[in-house]
Amino acid sequence: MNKFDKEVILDIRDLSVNYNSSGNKISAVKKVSLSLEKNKMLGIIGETGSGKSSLIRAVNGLIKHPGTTSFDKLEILSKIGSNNNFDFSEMRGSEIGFIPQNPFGSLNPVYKIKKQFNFVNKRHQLFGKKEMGSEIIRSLAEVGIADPERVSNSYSFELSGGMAQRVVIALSCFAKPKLLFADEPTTGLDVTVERQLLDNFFTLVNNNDMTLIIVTHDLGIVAQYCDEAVVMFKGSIVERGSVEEIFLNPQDDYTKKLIEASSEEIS
Amino acid sequence: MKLVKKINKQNLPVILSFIVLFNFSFGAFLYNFTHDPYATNIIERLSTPGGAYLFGTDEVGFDIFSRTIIAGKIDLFISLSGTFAALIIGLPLGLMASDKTKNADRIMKVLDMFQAFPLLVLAIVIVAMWGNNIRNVIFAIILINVPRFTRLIRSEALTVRESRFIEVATAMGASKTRIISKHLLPNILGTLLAQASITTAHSIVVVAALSFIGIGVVPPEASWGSMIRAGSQYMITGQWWMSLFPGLAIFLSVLSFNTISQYILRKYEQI
Repeated sequence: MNKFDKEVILDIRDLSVNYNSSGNKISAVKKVSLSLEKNKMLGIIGETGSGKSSLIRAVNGLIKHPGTTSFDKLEILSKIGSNNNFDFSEMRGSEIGFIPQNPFGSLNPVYKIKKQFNFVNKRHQLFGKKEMGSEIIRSLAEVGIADPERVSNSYSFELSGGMAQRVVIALSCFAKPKLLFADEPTTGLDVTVERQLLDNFFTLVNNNDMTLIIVTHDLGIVAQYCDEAVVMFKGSIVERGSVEEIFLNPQDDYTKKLIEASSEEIS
Repeated sequence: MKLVKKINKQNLPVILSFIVLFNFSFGAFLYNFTHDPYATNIIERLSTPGGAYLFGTDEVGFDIFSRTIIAGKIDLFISLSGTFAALIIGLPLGLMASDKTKNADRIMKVLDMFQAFPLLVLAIVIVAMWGNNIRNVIFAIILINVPRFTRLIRSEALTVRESRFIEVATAMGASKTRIISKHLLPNILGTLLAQASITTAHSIVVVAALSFIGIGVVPPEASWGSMIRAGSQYMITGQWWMSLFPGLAIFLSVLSFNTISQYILRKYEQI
């Protein structure tokens, strides 16, 4: 873990997220520090309310009022921000990507899928008008959609949950971000669909030379697909290490409990 | 005929609606009325419909048919222009108020103040202060409807702003103005159109209510409101036609506004 040997793609120092609701201050993330090398896959695990979603939202600059984000240093792809200031506007979409949970809500219901791809294209100037049609089909097929032609001409509410999540993944990866964040991308899907989707997804990530941070409460996903894992509890990182270290030789009491509780899933 | 071929089940009601509204808006110039809408004929007062007078005459011998048609010109103009202006003012206010800032709270406070007044009384006060003319009636309608639009747009925008797809669009690099124009507005447009249609309909009623107490459109100028009111006194003695026809005119125009709004909504969703 020498910082100077390998390319560090993400470096966070003392990041906190607070929510102020009617005088009550809730600390969702407490002074978390984290760094990640290029082309690694990091899984963030922890129970509901442990602050994992808040953490990656904060790294994407998506914490809204009345929530506040503060950090000493935030470095994403050699762009450095300090003193709670980081300009995300130029990086979003093309450098960093974000895949939320709840795929239906993530697609604008008034536009057809292909139109939403066109929006991304317009923002990032990726392809010409003539190529767009085939590019949309290609990227939809890439995430394992069997009939991309039909899907691209559909509205989000005409799709199944698995389909919609695939579309969201394709959309988020359309501008080929180098660092991708996924917030429980398989919530609400049944196990068979989940596995297929994850296989497609991780192939896509590998093929496009992306670095991935995935938040999940499914330890099986982390064990199977990730290189490294972070365990969060009550807003802090309690343990960090390679997947083997975390799962075979956990040090922290909470990690031990967590792995014990879902040992059937992993094996 | 290309035009005739384009008519189908879906757009037929809309075409009819436009014909109805066109009739009421421009009827004054379209028809060569057999009876002058501004001429009274006291000898033939309260004559029944169907004879020399298609819709009959009222208590001073005005021809109801021609007056029902020409009343639309002024009634629809007031309602539409008032609603449109209220929408133009209410839209940016509502969008501003949906942003969670201190200014947003101030906008809402002022609106609360406005809505504390009984609106019809407010309209009467305006007309009493600045004079009884049509311009002030329009102004009153704007004043009544701006808070409604602002409130509606704010509440709609608040829900849409919380949607995941707004967050996703932000994460994909969309700018603030783009999010408002491409994601926020399209998603509230449906409600907005529906509300605009209801508001126009409501404005027709407000105009009628105002002319009922002699504000805005005053005789000999025709308006549906004052015609219904004149007829209401004769209802009990069996002269039903005086109120029925202007009432039908209001019904038809409200129905037309609703049909058009629904059609736009449906078209909009097909894009």
